[in-house]
Amino acid sequence: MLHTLSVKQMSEKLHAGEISSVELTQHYLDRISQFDPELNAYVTVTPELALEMAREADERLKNGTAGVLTGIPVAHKDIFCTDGVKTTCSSKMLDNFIAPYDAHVVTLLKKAGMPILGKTNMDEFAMGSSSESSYYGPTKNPWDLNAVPGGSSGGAAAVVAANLAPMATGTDTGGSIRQPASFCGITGIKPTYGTVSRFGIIAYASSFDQAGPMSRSAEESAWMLNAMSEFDSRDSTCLDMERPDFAANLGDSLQGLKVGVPAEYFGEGLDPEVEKVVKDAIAEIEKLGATTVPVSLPNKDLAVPSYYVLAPAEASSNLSRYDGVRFGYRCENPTDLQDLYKRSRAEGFGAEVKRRIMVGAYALSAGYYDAYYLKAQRLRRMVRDDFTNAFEQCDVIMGPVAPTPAFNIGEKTDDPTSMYLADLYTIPVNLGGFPGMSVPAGFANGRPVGLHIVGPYFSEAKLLNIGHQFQQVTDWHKQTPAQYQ
Amino acid sequence: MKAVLWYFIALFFARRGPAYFRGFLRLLSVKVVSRAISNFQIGSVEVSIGKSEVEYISRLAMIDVADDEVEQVSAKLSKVLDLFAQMEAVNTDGVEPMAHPHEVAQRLRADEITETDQHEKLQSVAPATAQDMYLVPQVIE
Repeated sequence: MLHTLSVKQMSEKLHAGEISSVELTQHYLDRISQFDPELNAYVTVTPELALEMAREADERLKNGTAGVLTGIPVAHKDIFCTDGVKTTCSSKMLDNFIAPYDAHVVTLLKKAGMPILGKTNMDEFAMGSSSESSYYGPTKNPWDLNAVPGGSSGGAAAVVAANLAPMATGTDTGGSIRQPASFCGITGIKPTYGTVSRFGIIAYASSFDQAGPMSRSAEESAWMLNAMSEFDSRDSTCLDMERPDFAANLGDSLQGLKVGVPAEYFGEGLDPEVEKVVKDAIAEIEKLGATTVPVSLPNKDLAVPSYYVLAPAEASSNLSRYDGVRFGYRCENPTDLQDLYKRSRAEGFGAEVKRRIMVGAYALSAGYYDAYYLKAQRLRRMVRDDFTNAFEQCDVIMGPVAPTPAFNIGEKTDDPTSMYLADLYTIPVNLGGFPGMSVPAGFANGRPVGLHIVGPYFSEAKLLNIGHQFQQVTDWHKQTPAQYQ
Repeated sequence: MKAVLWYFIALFFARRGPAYFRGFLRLLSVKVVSRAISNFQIGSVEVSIGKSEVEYISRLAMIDVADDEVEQVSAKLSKVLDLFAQMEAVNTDGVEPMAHPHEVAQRLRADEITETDQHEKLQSVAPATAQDMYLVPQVIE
């Protein structure tokens, strides 16, 4: 069974000519037709494009121009513009939008030779933590069809967990790679802000948005991050600096590693089973030679309100481009220009997106700017400084990704703030712009739980090294729900 | 002395139109509430958004809110604003606002053409065009 191989094994077989990329890609397309109807993890499947790219990959494998990921299929979150392919951001607003160009990440992964299987489902415009706000209906968690896969990159996490793609791209504005990775039992890393180009990624909150890889293992994520990260002048915040080889340190020993454990991440509200899984994982890492030190993140509780002012404020500006004029949904029979704007947006956006635009517009409006927006920016600095101070005493911080394992579909949709508060461990990392990773660490109530590893700026290679070493002595990342084995 | 200052602030907002004045009233209420918190140590403050404010926000956001949605929208927005009220109690004196994770200067490039003309491709996704222009409802009578 091809889908039970690791990416490393697939790559070896492709290079040895034992399998072809067309064969591998067709295998995944078949699995998608078989299983995706129940999971709803893909918005669009692109079999023709996938097979055409697989044939090109096979050429490269024959003529010696292939790299480690050439011929390995990939699924892109439907937030990445993909030339000639419907790119919806899971919104009715973009239901008819055929992207006229490629996101830089898509360009790079095409260059790496990864056939595109399709576009994965997500929370509408990446605003959510459950993938339930998609215009195309919720994605289900492969571990339990009653549970959410997390969000906003829920479709991406679900396709990797259910073996409907070996690798997937995600984006993380407030936890959208790490939390679904945790909920679906896969590995995902959000790099330092500015590492991966945002060009062609549909914008939500520009000072937070960052793309990253989602895969079974840390080793695979390291390869994919190598392929998708490069300076790009078309993203004004993309850092103009040399990227390291993110896979170079995978084999390093963890001897002497100092792990910061913040008391604030193990307080009230944390599910006791999740706490146990996370503490056991940290103990496992200690066995590999690491030591733990207590650290403090005193302003942790300020992160959620700060984020939910700043991200909607940025969103209200970014999403002003959806006006019913240049692309996207347009209402029927507008009476005048203002009616065209107001009704196209009212009919094209879903409830949570409208809520965040309205909250953001309000926070930026005359009279409230200081009380909300500037105040939130001051808190952002306090939260960031907590981490900077903690990193003086430790190399990385470890804790839970989310206070609970995956919750049930429909459980949190009535009260938006209850969903916001569940982001309390991931959001501070985005406020600071630090890299963060989720690594499968066990199960609570039968649902997967991830270990959250956060490092200082540009410590991705270290995080991936820790993840890889942990995965040498554990097999949580290899587990697959019974029906998708 | 403070009262005189507030009078001028009120005048400033009032002269800029009713929307600004409403903003001022809101600012004043935030001030009063935050003072109440610091004086009496009240834990949390209920913020509620009325119908007129929903209409104001709907105009700012350019999103139509139907009459039968106002109540639900105001209830949910109020809940979000309750969350924001937690920020008020925090002393942020002397903390510089942080706009961005990396404190680097904006990169500039030479003023040279880097893009080729792709208007046909880019307009192919527009709802309505004519003669290379985007069509909208008539604006000038």
